[in-house]
Amino acid sequence: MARLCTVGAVALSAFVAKDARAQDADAGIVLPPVTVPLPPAEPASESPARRDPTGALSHVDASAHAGEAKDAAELLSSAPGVLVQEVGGVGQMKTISLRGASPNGVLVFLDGVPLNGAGGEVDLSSIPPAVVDQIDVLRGGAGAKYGSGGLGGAVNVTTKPAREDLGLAGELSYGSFDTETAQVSGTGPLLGGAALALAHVSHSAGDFPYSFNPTPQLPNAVPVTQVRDNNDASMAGGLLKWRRPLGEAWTVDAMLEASTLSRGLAGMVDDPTPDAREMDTRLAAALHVEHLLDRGSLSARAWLRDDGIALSGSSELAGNAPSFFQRELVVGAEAEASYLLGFNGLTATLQAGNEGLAVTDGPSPQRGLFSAMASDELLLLAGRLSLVPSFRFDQAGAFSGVSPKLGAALQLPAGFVLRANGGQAFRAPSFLELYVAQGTLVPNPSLQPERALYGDGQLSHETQFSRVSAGGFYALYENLISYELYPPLLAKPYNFETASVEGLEAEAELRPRPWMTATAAYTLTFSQNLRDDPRYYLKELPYRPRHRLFARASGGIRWIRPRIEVLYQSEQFINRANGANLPARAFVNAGASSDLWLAPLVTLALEAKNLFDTQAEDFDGYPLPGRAFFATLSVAWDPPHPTTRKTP
Amino acid sequence: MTLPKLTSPALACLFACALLTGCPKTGVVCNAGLTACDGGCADLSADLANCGACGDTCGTGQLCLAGACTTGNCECQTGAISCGSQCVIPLSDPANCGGCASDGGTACGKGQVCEQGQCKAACALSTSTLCNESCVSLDSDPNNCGGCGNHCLGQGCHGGYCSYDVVAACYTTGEVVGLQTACDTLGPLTAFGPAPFALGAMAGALLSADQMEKALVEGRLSDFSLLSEAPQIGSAANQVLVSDPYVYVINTQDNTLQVLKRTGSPLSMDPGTLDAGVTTDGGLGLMTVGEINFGANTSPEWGVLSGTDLFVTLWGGLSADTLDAGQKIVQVDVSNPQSPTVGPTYDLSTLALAPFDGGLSVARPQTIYAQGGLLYAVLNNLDLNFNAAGPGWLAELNPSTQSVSLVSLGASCLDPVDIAGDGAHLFVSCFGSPQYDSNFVLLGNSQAGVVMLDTPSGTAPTVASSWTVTWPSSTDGGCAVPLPGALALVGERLYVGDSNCGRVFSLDVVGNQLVERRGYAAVDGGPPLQVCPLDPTLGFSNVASLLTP
Repeated sequence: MARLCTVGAVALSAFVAKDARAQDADAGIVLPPVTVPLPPAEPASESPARRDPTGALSHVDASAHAGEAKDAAELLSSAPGVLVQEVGGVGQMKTISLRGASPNGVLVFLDGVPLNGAGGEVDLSSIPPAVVDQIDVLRGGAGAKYGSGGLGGAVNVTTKPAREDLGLAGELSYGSFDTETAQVSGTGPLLGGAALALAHVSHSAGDFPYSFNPTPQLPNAVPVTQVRDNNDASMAGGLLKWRRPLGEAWTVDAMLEASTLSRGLAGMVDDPTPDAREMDTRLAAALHVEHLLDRGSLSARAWLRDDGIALSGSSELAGNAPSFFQRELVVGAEAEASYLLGFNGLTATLQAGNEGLAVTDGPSPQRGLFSAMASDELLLLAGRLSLVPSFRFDQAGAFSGVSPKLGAALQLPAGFVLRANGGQAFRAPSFLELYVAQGTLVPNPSLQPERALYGDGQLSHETQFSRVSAGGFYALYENLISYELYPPLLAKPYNFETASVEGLEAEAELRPRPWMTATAAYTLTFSQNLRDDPRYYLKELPYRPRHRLFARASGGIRWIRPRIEVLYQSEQFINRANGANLPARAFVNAGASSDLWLAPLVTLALEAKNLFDTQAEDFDGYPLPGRAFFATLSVAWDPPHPTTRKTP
Repeated sequence: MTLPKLTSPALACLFACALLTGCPKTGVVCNAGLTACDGGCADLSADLANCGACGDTCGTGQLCLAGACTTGNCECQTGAISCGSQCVIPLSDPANCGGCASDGGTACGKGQVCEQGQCKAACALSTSTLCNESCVSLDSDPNNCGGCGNHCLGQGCHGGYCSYDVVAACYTTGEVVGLQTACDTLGPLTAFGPAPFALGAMAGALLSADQMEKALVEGRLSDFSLLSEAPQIGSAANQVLVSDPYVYVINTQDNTLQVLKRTGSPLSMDPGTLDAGVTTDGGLGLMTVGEINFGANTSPEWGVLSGTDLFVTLWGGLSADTLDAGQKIVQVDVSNPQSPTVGPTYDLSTLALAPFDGGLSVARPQTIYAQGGLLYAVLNNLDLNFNAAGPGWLAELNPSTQSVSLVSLGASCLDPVDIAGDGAHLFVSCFGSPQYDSNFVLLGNSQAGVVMLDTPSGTAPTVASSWTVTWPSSTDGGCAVPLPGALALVGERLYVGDSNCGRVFSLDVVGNQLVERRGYAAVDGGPPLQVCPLDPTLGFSNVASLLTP
């Protein structure tokens, strides 16, 4: 399917060229060179497009949302199968669920560096939007390609690329709730290769108003407006990248990303925590070497992630100690070989690493990580059918699991492509679930791994003017881990459920005019608890809304490019008994951007989020912000250059 | 075209592993003690429709006891005595008035009635109703419950409705179960909402504040058959306080006191429907008519009515910076229940709680009880990790003088949680100080049990007797250590719910002493009753509430 992607890229580049010419003719203006999208680069070796060519993939190009004040979570919201949930506010916790799997059943990578922390889930607010170039989403079991934890899928965030061309860019943004961001980046030659240096800083007071009903059961009670307190967030960080070809066939990439995040933890509106705070730090580094062969490639990768989380100011979080500190260090290395042998595209991967955690006055668990993966890409029917069996073995400390998968892609007449996948994935319990007591959460060392059996099918079609895909999926989860009340006031994780999640996904992108684009993504999710006592048996899993729709229309020319988005989500249950729910809601975002100057390119973007001030929450007692406005001014000095990315 | 050979080793492994790992188990999981019957879970020991085996139905007029259909009980119900082969009520039985006719009682003459154990020409008391020459209280006579001839089968008569003497809420497993005190017999475990936490009784209905449904689940008090009505209540409802036609619900997480009013009729007492579990009533017509919010982080826990005031304990926020929102008792004027008004507040944070280490000790008032014109609130006295920080105390509040003082519960009581009284005594359950291993497996408990206090008029209550709970060294189910919680007092018998293993211990008040009747000490009554089943996955079960209708 990597071949199919290449074909698609060629078609897209042809379309882009036509698009540019048409817009030029229609508008009678000269487009600034930097606004012409470049042909996409060959996907990185760690990206889902390379690793899982038959998988259900979505691609989000962050540059298409430049100046829209979107964070990584908002960018992901445009993909089908994705559910982002947050506690409310810029810089506050946001997690992603894929195809009904819990957030700790979704693997998230930053340039191939695994971000899933000690709790198994990833706080997307820790990924600053300034560093994001594109995001690839693999929906469905990702265990065979990415290992333990990929029950619902995998997300790879690709950071902005290093370039040999000199370039400087900066961006300032200001908006509601005293939200301000700034970033500056530069590219150019360094040590015979290409380099990028980027720095970013952001702050938000997070003091948004929300509607609160102090007597919610009283008929005709009038809600009052309150302001979220202790909900601020400040973040700063940077990204360094360097890439250099070594001879004709070798390439070396290096990436170093660091960030620090300080935020208030507001708590529930009924029981706020005015002094609780969290301080996070992260250092992520990766080194990648790739050697192209005549009929394949060899690559080696090493990575490191060092996370720190400090909690203070609340006994619920910190216990009797004045503060709680947790540090996680993950190191890993991977070697991969791919070789085309006749009709077989063989790939073998070996991976080894270590995960360690240190907690204030607590345990310091360590566990070794090892995995071996082999896959084959068989080309049949004159290359129209691609059959990809793969198998992976993972060992994470005392837990081991196998993740087989069989994928297929069939090119049908008239531009249709049919993809299908089936397999198994597993997730070893996280360090927090196994070993760490944190406030009222206590561990359970006797947990067993979660397991998923999954299958999906997808039919897609692509033309110069459109890209449409639709399909269905089914997953059967076993031994799901969930925290339950543990006497007297604690919560402890247990393996207790078997559940199925099935649904439909549809994604479309239409370009009826060169200056107009419309995209939409719809997901139908139906979950069911298949093993439990009669109170919960056959009930839906909580926090899995059945319907989710994202739609966006954008267009315009240089002077004015308006856009509008709608994100609808149906009601969702908040407990296993399905007795209480959060209502359905729809958010409408609108904005416009304009290029005020061409050289250097100066762009002003205005954004209104939640235009109709919809009052909603993702978790009971955690309101989401209402209407907000943002303005972003960006400047880019980027001398003309035909391309900045090299295709290996 | 020549197809390539499908010799991929990965492909072969794929199918081998798919076969090896198998499919997940699915289906209904029944809690310990229950059996899967026809898509649900049945209590074969007491279920009339599945007595001893799935589908084995007991006939009309029969009980299911210990898995067998029977017409009799182990012995006579409370208030009855055995005369020959019959159980009679000597207070009203004209043939055995005042006792068995053959043993000191009297057989009243023709035309006479028996009232209060005495033969009379006619019923004299205003509370008496004549039923077949018996002067009975329709409120309490199990042979004439709510009306002449209404016989309660295997139950007592409370407030004119047949019901068990005690009803337990099994929070962990989502059931209620009745307990009949005379014989320590249990009714069938009956599903009653997913998470029943607090119980109340009103006009023939059992009310359950369900913390998962956020609803006041209604059912018939006699057989727990659910009614269709279930009005919404707030989050984490902790108490259901009935003062017909009003119901006060304290919602801990919402920080609210919610007042509902019954707008419907009391439930019917048709004898024809009593034993069959047929429900025709939709509910009591409970409507929310009032609500007040005590403020963020106040966490109201419990309330007690005293005159036209409701005294509510405020437990406080979970974190150190939100403690001050609680540690109080607030007086709420409910002279007009539809418009409750917050009155004086009594601060408990300044009380000398004598923390063991001299450090921080938080009062955390939980339940509250009114007796002799005074109010008694139990103080958990916890540290910031919710462990016992000091000895157990009661806070005694005198509303007339607005003064608060401490009452010691002695050295044998840590983390007191519930309180009951009989006019002369107060009874306080002590959760204790649970000990966990590094993996938070409960290993033991200390200073847990019940304290009985004398409450002589004019002087402070003093500890008269205490009972320390014991437990077996090991159990098959893995749940051994008790965490005493909910209390129910029936006559001179005190029932103590176990928040950890679903058991109910029973104690008798003998003079000024507490005597263990059912427990693990060497006692006559045997082991505690396993009232709530253990959850097979979690391994524990919480008796969250014990109701005496």
